[in-house]
Amino acid sequence: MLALFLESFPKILVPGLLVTIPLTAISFALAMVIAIFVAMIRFARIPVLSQLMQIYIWIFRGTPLLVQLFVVFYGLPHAGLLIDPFPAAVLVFSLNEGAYCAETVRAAIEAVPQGQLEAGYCVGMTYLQTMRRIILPQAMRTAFPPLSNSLIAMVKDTSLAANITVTEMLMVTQRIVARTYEPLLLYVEVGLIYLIFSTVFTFLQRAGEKKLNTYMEREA
Amino acid sequence: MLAVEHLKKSFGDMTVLEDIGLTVEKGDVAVILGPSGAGKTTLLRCLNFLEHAEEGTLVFQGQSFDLRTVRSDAIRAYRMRTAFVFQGFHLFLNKTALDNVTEGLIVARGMEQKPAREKAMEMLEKVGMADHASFFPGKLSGGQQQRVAIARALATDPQIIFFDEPTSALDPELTGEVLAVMKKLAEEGRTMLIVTHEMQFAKTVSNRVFFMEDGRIVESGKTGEIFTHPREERTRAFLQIGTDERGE
Repeated sequence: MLALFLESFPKILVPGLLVTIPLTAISFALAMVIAIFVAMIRFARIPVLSQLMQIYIWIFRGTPLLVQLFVVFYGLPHAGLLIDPFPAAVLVFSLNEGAYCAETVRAAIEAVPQGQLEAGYCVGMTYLQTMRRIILPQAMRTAFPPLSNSLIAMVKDTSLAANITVTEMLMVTQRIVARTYEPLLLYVEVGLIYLIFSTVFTFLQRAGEKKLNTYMEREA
Repeated sequence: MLAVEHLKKSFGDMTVLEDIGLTVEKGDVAVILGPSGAGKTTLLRCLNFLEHAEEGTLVFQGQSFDLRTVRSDAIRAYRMRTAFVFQGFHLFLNKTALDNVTEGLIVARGMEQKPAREKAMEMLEKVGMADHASFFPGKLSGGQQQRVAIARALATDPQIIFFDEPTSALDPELTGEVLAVMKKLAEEGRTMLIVTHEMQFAKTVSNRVFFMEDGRIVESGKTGEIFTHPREERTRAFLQIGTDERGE
């Protein structure tokens, strides 16, 4: 038993480090770009675009992640659009996560006092300058804990990518199970590795929050 | 230097400002007085386009703006030459006192870091906040925050500074330190338009008074005349109350 555990551990960990973590990191980074972009459009209530973004959020929050993966990976080839497993996973994860995070970021932007924007205007800054220099830094501080939540959820959700033939941790584990028939040991083991990853991210979150708190003290 | 004519503003179907006309000359320290709800703050906000007035014209240093059709680039150019001090301070919460002052210089006006910082320190010096330059707003008292806000307003060399009840959120002691700074600016000949409830300050520092009630300017004139011989019964009553409250 122990021998199998030790033997399989690196075999599962390596795709974790080479696939799960990069898939999470790339997808989450793209999700953040999408989220800020969508949140700013929704906050500024830009006509038409704002409604389009609302429809985007509606669709990606309202349908299962697994269905979205299937539509892109198995469905789109029938419309002549063939995407490799990894980029397909990145595409779906970032669009899906972007939809959730857009609402988190929008709420955080709306929580920044209106006076901050007005003060920006009154020293001569444009809307975009004030957003970038004043509003977003404050909003991202508010949004940091819920966004960290989303990130940790995403680490685990990447296991769904096994369904579209991405050789990530769960798929590798399934293969070893098929060979050795030790499902209890191996699935607990892969769970343990996910737990380690999540724990690392949790520590990073704490460190990040501390850093944000020192550069901006809470208002008295 | 600043003149407004026939300004009208409503929220929904409630008219809050009606046919406002007002002139401020260079070097004036003008105060807008009147009871709460008279529209003083709304008027001041309209003058810096923080509120959208639906009618009227504004002439600033010979340049005329139609308040109905004014474009955002014209508004920005106008704001580059004015400054606004808020009742709630509105310092940038993610910036130190110094960065609050440099922001408008570096970001909005493209000034280099070094001269901007020197200018900002000079302004903080003027309001007595140089030793707090590295503090974040959350670590400053209300009076200190407001003095930094005044330094931020001064840094961009505005032709006129709008003050919206700058001391209303402060206790009497802190009010004193902010009014002292404003008095200093008045003595330097800065053009200021101030909404305030500080009658003593208005009486001794300002040279021009606009008295407002129910969205209209009821009476305006030189400070000395208004405080000694107000023409309107309403002004007389208000100023009487104003002085009684201060126990004079």
